[in-house]
Amino acid sequence: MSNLLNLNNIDAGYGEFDVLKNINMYLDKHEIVALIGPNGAGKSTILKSIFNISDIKSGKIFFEENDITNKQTYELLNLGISYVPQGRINFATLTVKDNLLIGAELIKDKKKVKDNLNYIYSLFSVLKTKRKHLAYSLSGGEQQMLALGRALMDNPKVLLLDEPSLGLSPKLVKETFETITKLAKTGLSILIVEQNAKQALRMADRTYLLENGQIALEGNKKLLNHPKIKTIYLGGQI
Amino acid sequence: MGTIQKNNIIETLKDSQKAFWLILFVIDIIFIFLCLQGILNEYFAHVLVVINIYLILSISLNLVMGFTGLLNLSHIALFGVGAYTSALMIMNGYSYLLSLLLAMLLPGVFAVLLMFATRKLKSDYLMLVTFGFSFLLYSIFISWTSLTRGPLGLNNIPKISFFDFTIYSTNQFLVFSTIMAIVSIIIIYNITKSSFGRLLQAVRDDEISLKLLGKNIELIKFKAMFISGLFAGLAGSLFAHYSQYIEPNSFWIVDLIFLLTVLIVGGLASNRGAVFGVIIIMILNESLRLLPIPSEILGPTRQIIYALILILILLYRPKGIFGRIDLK
Repeated sequence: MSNLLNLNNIDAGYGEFDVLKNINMYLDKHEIVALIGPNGAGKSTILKSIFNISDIKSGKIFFEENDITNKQTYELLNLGISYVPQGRINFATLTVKDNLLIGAELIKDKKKVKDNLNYIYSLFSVLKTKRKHLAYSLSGGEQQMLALGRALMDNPKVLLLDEPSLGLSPKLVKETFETITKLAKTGLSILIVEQNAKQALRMADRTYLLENGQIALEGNKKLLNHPKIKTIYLGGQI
Repeated sequence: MGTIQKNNIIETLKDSQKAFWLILFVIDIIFIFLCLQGILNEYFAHVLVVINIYLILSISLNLVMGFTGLLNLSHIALFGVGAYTSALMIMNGYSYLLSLLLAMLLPGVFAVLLMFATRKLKSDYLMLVTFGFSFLLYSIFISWTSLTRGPLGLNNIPKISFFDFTIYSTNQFLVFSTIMAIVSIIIIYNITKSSFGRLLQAVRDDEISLKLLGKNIELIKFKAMFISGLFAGLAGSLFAHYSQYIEPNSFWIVDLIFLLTVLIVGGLASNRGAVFGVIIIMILNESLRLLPIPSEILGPTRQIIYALILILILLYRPKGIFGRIDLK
C-alpha cells in the first residue's frame, strides 16, 4: 500500500455498459507506467475511472493511501492528480497564456501561479513566444504542449495522459515522449495510455497490456521481448 | 518574421483599445458639455440618453452572449421586468434607491431561474427557450392588467429623486444616465478582464475541458446571467423613469432585434464592439429621420435596413467590427 496510486479490484464502465473487470494496478513515485492494448480494451476507461468520469461499480482507488473513489474533480485536482484528455482539448479563442492560467485556477497564491507559468515557459519555449496567440492558431504539436502545460499548472503529483501522440507526426511523437521522460525526471509520476506500443514500452518503466477490460500482461521493459507482444502488437519483430 | 509582425499587430491593437475608450470618453464629455450649454438642443440630449440606456443593455447582453457564449434572447424581457418593477415600486410610494435595488435584483433572479431551467440546453435550443421566455413575460405584461394596466401601459411614472434631489430636465437625466452607463461599462469591462472573465470565455470555448479542470460550469453560467440581469434591470429602471411611460410593446421583438443587430455589427465578445455597435446603429437610426419619408414607412424601413446591415456584416465581416468570435 505504499504506492502512490493503487487500483484495487476495479470494475467500471458507463451506465449499464461494463468495460473494466477486476483491474489491479499501481503507480509508484517518479514512475512512468504505460497502458497499451487494442482499441476498446478499456485503456482510457482506466484513466477515466481514476478521474471519476466513468462509473465505478466495485473496487477502490487509493492515492497516497487515501480513498479517492468517487471524489469530485476539484478534490482530485487539489490532491495533485491532473488529467489530459484525448485530442488536445484547448480553449480555442483564448490566448496561450490564458489557457495556461485556467489550469491554475485552484491556486490562490498569485506568486505561485507566476512561478508555475515561468516553469511551463521554460519547459516549452514555443509557448512563451506564442503566449499572446489564440490557441486555435497553434499547430498540432504546440496544442499538445499547451494541453500538457495546462495540466502541469496546478503542481500535480500524478499526470494521467490519454494518447498524447494521437495525430502527431513521427518527429513530434518523439519530441512528446522526450518531454514526458523529462517530466518524470522532475519527480512527476505519469500514467500514459498509448496506441504506439513500441514507443510506449521503450519509454515506460512498467507497462500493462489490456485486453477485453482485463490486464493480460504486466512487466517492465523486458515485455518488449515477450512473444505475445512481439507477434500481436509489434508486427512480429522489433 | 511572421511572429514578430503578428506581435506588433497585437501590440498596436492593445494601444488602440486604450485610445478607443479615451476618444469615446472625450467625445462624450464634449457632447454633454454642448448640451448643458444649450448649444445642442434637447433632441440631442434625448438621443444621448437613449444611447446610454442601450449601452448598458448591450454591454450586459454581450457578457452572456459574447463572452459566455449563451445565446440568450431573454434580455429584453429582463429589461422589461426592471422597468415595471422600478415604476410600480415608486408609484406605490417606495423610495427610488429601494426601487432601483429591487429593479436590478428581480431581473437578476429571473435570469438565474431561467438559466436553471435551461441548464441542460445549448446553442439553438437555448435560444428558442429564452426567446419563449421573452414571449411569456410579454404576455404577462399585457395580461396582468390589475398590475401593469395591460396594453394601456403605466403612465405618469415619477421622475428620479433621491437625497432631496430630483432629476427634472433631460439634461440632468443625461448626466445621470451617462454616469450610470460609464460605471456599468467599467464594471463589466473589469469582469471580462478578470480571471472570472477568463472562465466565462472558457465556458464558451469548451465546457467539458473546463469541467475536467474542476470547475462548476452551471455556477459560472448562473453568475454570468445574474450579473447580466442586474444591468438589464438597471437599464429598465432608467428607461421607465426617463420616458415616464412604459407599455408592453417597449419590451418586444423590435427592441430585441435592435440589440442583436448592435452586438452582431459591433462584434461579439468585445466590449468595444458592444459600445460602438450601439453608437453606430443609433446614429443611423436617427439620421433616417432626416430623410423625407413619412413616419408610417420609417418603422418598416428601419427593419429593412437592420436586415440589410446584418446580411452585409455576416457576408463580409462575420465577426463584426471588433468581435473575436463567430456567431455559432
